[in-house]
Amino acid sequence: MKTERWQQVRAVLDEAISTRAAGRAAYLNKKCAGDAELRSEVDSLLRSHEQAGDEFLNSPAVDITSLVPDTDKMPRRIGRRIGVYQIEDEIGHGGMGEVYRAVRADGQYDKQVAIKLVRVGLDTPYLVERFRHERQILASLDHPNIARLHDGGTTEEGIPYLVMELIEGTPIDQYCEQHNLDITERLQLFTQVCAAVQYAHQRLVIHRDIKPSNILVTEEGVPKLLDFGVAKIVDPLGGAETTMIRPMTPEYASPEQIRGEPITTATDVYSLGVVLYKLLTGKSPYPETTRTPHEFARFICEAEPTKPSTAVLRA
Amino acid sequence: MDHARTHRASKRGGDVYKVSLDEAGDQPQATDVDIVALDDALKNLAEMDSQQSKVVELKFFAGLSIEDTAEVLGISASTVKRDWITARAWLYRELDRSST
Repeated sequence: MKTERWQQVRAVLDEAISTRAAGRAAYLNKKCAGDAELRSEVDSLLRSHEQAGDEFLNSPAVDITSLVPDTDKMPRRIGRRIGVYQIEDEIGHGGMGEVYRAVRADGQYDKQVAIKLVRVGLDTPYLVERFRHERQILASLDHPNIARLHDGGTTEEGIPYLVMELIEGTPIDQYCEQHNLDITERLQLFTQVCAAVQYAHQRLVIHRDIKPSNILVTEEGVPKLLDFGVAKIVDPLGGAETTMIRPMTPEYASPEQIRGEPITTATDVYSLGVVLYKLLTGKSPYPETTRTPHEFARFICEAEPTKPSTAVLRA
Repeated sequence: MDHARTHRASKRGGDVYKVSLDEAGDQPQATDVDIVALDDALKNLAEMDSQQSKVVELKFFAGLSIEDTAEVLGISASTVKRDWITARAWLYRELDRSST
């Protein structure tokens, strides 16, 4: 159909839809007088409109709003015990739950650990079993650039938690800026991160949420990847390999994550690419005006990012 | 979209499409609309009225509300609503035709 004709059809259709059924025939008789083709076109679309009902296309293909987690809070736990660990301090909290610094309370050794409480309801035996299984896989990751998962369990209230190596460091992008690293140094740092990801991929573990805040660089200059595979175990309801991560901002997410499609090792490689882009150019591959999850979703899935070489020149 | 097309091509006997046991039972079930046919229809709609096709993209593919769609496109919410309703009727008919 030609543009002009469609504009004519849709104007009549629009008016007909908002006209009450009783007056519709009279309206159409008048509007389509002498143009039988227009009348049959509008009649046909009116039927489609009715058949489409409330259902057709009304549930979005991807529920982007689900990417943003709710922010209700759990009670403060400082000073309390979780398993054999005594909570000392809160390190951070986010969409996933809270993170605390803790020490073993049974005096077996006084190493500090990070405890992550995850906010999901694991109320079926199947999900509890899966949580345990995933934890075992993650606990087997033993690499100098991956924060170790020591232990895990479920609190008295049924909240699952993970006990991890406590890493004190700076997110990789901030570290590079603060230490004024040159390109070679940045690449050397990044290569170590890639080696850690490769190590995990060889063991069929996908990170799913690679971003600068999950790559901390210690005072000694050693990059450590946090939360390997955690995005999967904290979202068991999302199911298997199709799980969508729920980042606060999907800036580092891959198109398949945005679309809720199966996640593979390539998902991590995509996120690594975004991190590298940021380390080399100091900018995000997406326009600075991109802020809301749906704007990111559009750019990630549809736009071709500016070449890093071009981005660098735009001071 | 590319993924959907690849998937469809494989059903016609193209490349083997690997699905692990884990994901086989758990494909995303966002919609039972034929996404590939919808994409084709949207391209035709874009030729007749590009604003209407953008409204459908934002509302259906990006999951935006009427109000957010209006803000992104810089048009009024009532215009979005009219664009949406007539586009939806047209797309319904197109998809109905393509499936028969």
